[in-house]
Amino acid sequence: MTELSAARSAPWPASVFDAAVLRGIDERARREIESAGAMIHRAAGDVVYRAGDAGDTFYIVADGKIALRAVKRGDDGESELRIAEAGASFGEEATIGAARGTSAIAVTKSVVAEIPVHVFRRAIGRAGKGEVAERMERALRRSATRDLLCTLALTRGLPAQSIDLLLDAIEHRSFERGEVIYDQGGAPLEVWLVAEGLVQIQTEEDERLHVRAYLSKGDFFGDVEVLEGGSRRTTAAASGPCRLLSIPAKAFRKLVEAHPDLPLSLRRLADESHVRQRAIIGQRPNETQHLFRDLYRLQVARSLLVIDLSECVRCGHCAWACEDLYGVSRLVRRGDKVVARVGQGDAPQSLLLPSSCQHCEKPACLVDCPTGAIGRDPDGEVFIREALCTGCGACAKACPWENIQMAPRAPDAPRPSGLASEYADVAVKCDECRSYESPACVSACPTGAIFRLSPSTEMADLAALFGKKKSEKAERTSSPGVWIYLVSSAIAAIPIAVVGAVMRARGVFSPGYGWGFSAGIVAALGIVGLLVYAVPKRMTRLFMKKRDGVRTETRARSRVKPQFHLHLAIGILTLGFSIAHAPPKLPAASAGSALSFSFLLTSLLGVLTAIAYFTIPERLARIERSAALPEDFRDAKKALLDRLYREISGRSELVKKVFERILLPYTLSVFGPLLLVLSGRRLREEENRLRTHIDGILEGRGGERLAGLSSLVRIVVELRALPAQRFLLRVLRAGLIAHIATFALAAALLVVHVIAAVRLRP
Amino acid sequence: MSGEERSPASPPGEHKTLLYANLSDPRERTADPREIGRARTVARAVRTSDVTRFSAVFAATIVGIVAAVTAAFVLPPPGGHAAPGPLSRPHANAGLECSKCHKADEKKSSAADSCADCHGAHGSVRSGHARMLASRAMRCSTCHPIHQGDQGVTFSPGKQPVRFAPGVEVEVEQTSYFPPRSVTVPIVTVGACKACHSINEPRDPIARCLSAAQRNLGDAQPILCFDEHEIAHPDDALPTFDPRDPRLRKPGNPNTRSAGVCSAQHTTDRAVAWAAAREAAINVPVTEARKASGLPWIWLGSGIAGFVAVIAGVRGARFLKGRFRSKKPGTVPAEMLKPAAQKRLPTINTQTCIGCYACVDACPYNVLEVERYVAVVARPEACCGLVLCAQRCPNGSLTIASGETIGDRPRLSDNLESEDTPGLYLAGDVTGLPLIKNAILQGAHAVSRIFEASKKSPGVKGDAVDLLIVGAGPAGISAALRAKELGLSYEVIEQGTVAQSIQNFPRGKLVFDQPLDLPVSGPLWLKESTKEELLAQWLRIVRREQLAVIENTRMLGVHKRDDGLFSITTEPRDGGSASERRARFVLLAIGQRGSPRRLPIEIPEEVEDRVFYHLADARSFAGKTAIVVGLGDVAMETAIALARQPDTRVSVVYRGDDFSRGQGRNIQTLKRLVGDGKISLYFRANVQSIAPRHMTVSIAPPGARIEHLPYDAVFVMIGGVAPWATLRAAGVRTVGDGEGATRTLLSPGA
Repeated sequence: MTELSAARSAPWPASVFDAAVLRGIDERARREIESAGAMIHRAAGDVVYRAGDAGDTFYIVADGKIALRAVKRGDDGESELRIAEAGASFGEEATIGAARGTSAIAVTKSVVAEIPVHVFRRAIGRAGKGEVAERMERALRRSATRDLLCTLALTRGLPAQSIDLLLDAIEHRSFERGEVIYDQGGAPLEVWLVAEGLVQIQTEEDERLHVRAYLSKGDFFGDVEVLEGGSRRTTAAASGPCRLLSIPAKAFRKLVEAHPDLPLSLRRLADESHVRQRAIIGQRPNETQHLFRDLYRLQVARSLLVIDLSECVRCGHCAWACEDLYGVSRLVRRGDKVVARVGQGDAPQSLLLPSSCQHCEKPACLVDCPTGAIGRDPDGEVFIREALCTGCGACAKACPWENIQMAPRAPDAPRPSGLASEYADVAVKCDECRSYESPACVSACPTGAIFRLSPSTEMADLAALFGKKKSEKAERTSSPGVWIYLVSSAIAAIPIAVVGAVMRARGVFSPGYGWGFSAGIVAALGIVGLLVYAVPKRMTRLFMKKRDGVRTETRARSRVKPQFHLHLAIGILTLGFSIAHAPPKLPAASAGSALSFSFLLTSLLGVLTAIAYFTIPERLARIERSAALPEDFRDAKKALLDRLYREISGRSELVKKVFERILLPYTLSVFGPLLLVLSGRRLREEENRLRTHIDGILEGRGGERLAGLSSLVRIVVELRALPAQRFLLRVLRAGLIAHIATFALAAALLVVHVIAAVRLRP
Repeated sequence: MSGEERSPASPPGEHKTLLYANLSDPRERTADPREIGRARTVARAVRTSDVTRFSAVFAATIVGIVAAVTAAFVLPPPGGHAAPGPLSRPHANAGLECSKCHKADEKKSSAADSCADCHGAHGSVRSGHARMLASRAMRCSTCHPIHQGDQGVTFSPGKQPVRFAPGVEVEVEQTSYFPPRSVTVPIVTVGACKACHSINEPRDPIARCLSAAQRNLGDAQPILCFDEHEIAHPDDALPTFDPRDPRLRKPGNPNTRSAGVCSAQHTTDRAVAWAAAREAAINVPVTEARKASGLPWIWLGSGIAGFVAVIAGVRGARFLKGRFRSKKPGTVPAEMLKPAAQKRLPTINTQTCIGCYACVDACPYNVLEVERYVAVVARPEACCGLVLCAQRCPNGSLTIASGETIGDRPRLSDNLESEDTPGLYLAGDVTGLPLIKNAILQGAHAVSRIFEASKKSPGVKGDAVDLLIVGAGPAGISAALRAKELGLSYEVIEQGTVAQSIQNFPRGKLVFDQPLDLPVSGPLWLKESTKEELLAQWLRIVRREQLAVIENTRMLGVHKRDDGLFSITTEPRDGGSASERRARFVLLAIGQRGSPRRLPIEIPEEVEDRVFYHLADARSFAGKTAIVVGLGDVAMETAIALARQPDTRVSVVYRGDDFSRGQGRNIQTLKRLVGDGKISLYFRANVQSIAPRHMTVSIAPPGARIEHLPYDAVFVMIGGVAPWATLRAAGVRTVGDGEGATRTLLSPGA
């Protein structure tokens, strides 16, 4: 498959614009289609696309012949459906967002025009010929709906006549996230079938949203009220953009008359699915609630960037590497936390969802881009072509997670031509480093905490909900690597240090000659080795391999992580050799002793930082509800206080008294955050503890009047956690700078010491 | 939190709760798909601390290294870096150069070979040592490490003996030895011997040379035997060896001997000198062979200082720059403070418009819409002339055309002062310039000008304040903050509560900041946020700054008295007698909406508390029957919000015969709700009267009839009455009034 190229080529041949779908469009529309689309050349036998691929483009044959092949029902292999010749179009299923139903293979040497559907729709819509696209879509929809009905357990058994009747009655409706399909109390006018997307059935009581069912492709809903009469008992809302089929009540009743057992089987299916969903969500309510709250996001994400908070050392090297490579960091390490079981591992992991493109199944940005600057690879990577981006911001507004930002365009960057203005801005977002072998952020992580996954298959609970086969791709081998490095280097370093120190104490070794001198040389080389770690780590381009063709299937791994472990091992060995070379003591008036001292100091800081890296993230993850950067804490505190004020207003006197007597002192306690860190409790455990404490004091009094107390408890616990987070974050991040500074000293003194030693020695 | 116990009202046959979310918690709110995904402002890329935290660290490291290396070379240790330590005292006193011992051809001869040049080639007389010397396994420097541990006692005639060690000199008490000339007795330390000798072994021959009392000195423990180089008589030939070839032991050579430094000291009294030296060595133990030196700390310190200086410099400069920029009062261009004089309307080049919604999203009044992928001016009458759309258009397809002069606009100077009544200032929506951000700017700007004007005119008389601000909206709060900052005495009167117009926004409404590169001056906070966040922030500011806001007080009229002061008549909103306030300056920040337009019918007193002009919280109307009068956006939003509550019955009454105004989204939702039977919609309907139980509505033909609609609450949402009457009464004339208008309006009681 070709990548859509933004390069301006020769004007397209007339045969393309003579095609039925494009006939009569104006000059401007032609230009737009030409610049956003591409002319692709295929030799005989080459594949244009394969059945099952995702696609946002359709094709018009400019020259040659393309065979469309598909597996017919009951057949084993593909057979030819039709041959598209010059002027014919194919691949139109992309206009309704469906996956390719056929494979397209060149019969002769061919040239085909690849046209992004969204640009086509705009061009033709502006020309006032929107009905062309609509007619095309209607026909495609009907056949897609028939396919859907034929695969559903419920309707599969119906005779073709009933299905045709149903097809005639069905109306296609699209809903955006948040649109209400029907309201509680409304009249039941139709029954709905989910063709695509996610719908939730819910009720709202007293500021609490109760979700009663999640419905996805193939599920019917709204049937009970239509058959039993009465008003709607629940609200149905679109969790995400979805396409629904509505069957008018009359048509549905007619269908039920013909097939009286239909309602029962509908009920049974719904109940089965409810029991299944309840089992999944109820198994570990504390964990799954995270997932289900963000279900929409996790459902549409194809490749979600996550950071394992219990391994992330908050160094920010991921964002730094991104900035280093692209000038603007497309990754902001802020976001919500979800707890999920990934792959086969049974232990739930705290995962941060940083703001970075998640390459949605149906990207809202791609649909909204007016110039077709946003494209998608066959393997699903969504990317922005700077040469077409006008900087209008439509994509950034469309993205529900603010994963697209506007940035100043670099002076030499490509930009659209032909129009007057400067196009000062450009939209930037993560494209998974599509021109490299693996993403920079993943490669640059020193602990391997950041990785990409496909939530609906790789998060165990979601895979179960969506009935998908669980993929083990996300399984990360919990590498014993670092401990092997550390233990073996320590085993080597300790005897070296001890033997060296003893021999020197006995006067056998001297720093100036023999073994003592050799130890010094090894230590010096070690210091150079330690210094070298900082170099590739900070030269992103050095370890980013340019991609050559299709990316290999293997999961991207961190390249810095092994280097980091090597750095630790070299550090331990070098420490051993340096002790063998010269005694650890306060510096005397020589470069050597000052070097020895400063190296010890930097080793100490390094060891402390390493200890912090291995112990703190896990503790920090326990008391985080969303990951924050150091600069966010002030606003976070304000937001919490605002919520506190809002929550407390209008509550009962009892709640106010509890707040004043228990919660306020709890929040103001100076040592509270420290105690929280030391206790090692999770936020939820802390909340439960506090709540138990309050209940113990109240001895069961209060009852109704305690409404709203749990939100207050949540807020005060978070308020207590905030300074603790801040402190732990500071501990994690402060050591490194001191380590670098003292290392600089050691490096400087090493230079002096080596010069002196060279001059001293014959 | 599966919350099984919390779903008591699960309808029969319906499913139990799978998940429940507390909607007051912003993070749990994501479970509620009701939020609209599309933002109206774009996020701009920011440099987070992740990216910036190591900026300047590389430079700092280099500077730190250079600083440390420089310090080490500028302030080398005594003897230089190449020396393993300082020279011992006698060598230093002799003024030896390095080259004296370290010959240029060091490759061939070690510095240790040079000792014999001065000292004469006399080695140890002990057979073991002599053998090792001969095999070169031992050198002079093995026992006398000149730079590191060379100790000794120097006796000088007429002076006190000096016990020395590298870097240490101690005068010892006068001994029984009175040397006829300068004599130095070197002391060897255990450190030099322990490579071969077992120091702690009593049978080792060295044991007789050690004092048990000095064990604790470690390597610095002196050897108290001085007969290493002993010869029978001073006149005997010293045992010599050829330093270049120690295997050739030669008989004593008088020439060598006389040339040696040592020979002069090998006199008859040497035994006495040794005894004295032994005494001194025992009495004055030198534990620390080398005195601690401040030098390495200077090197380390300058390295660290260089590192810290660069980091602090770069970050400090960035901080100061940011501070300076934020402190610098932004020079606000005049067009940002005053509304345009002429009507301006966007025009769109349909040939280049790409239909990106940038202009639609920028417009605060929904003037623009996108139809068939091209922007169109859908509601030209609502255009405010701010032309934010033109600023946001990415490719210049949208241009602004000027139209007729706007009449409904107060005549204002650049200072926002009324041109007809000096001393009376206006700020906020009332000036004709919309947007919260502009209101904030105008409020602060006007007060700055008032402050300048107040310096020219006489001070406050009696109980009058410098400035009376009418209205505590964005402009009013901003003005009060500036007045407080400038030290003006001020009062704010507000007919409702602080920021009521914002409080009246529907719950959760996003208040959005216009995408403009315009500094928001003053501390008032504004960014894209929900209504609740914005309000909480503002209320906190009002509380923290203790602004003098008098709430629930309505202004009845303003007039300028003969003494130049303004007199403002006010009355409490909930009844009570009117009172008069006096002020030197008045700032009217009363907003554009003024008061909501009322129905042109008599409303009985007993139903007045059931007639509302805004909807604050739809939840409180659950289960009620409500009538909404009007079909603008506000009315539609109200009807939708009410219809979403459980068991509400909503009727919408509208004079027109179709949807004519409002956003497409609202219209669609309303139509759907009408279709669902949640809302009854009456077109061509005029409200005739309101009775305690029902409202009478006459419906014009076709389908003419009279309806009696029952109600629990009536929402009248038929727009607002512009506050022109108030303004005119205060002496502010609009541009449209023309020049001919008289000033009699200013007189009291007008």
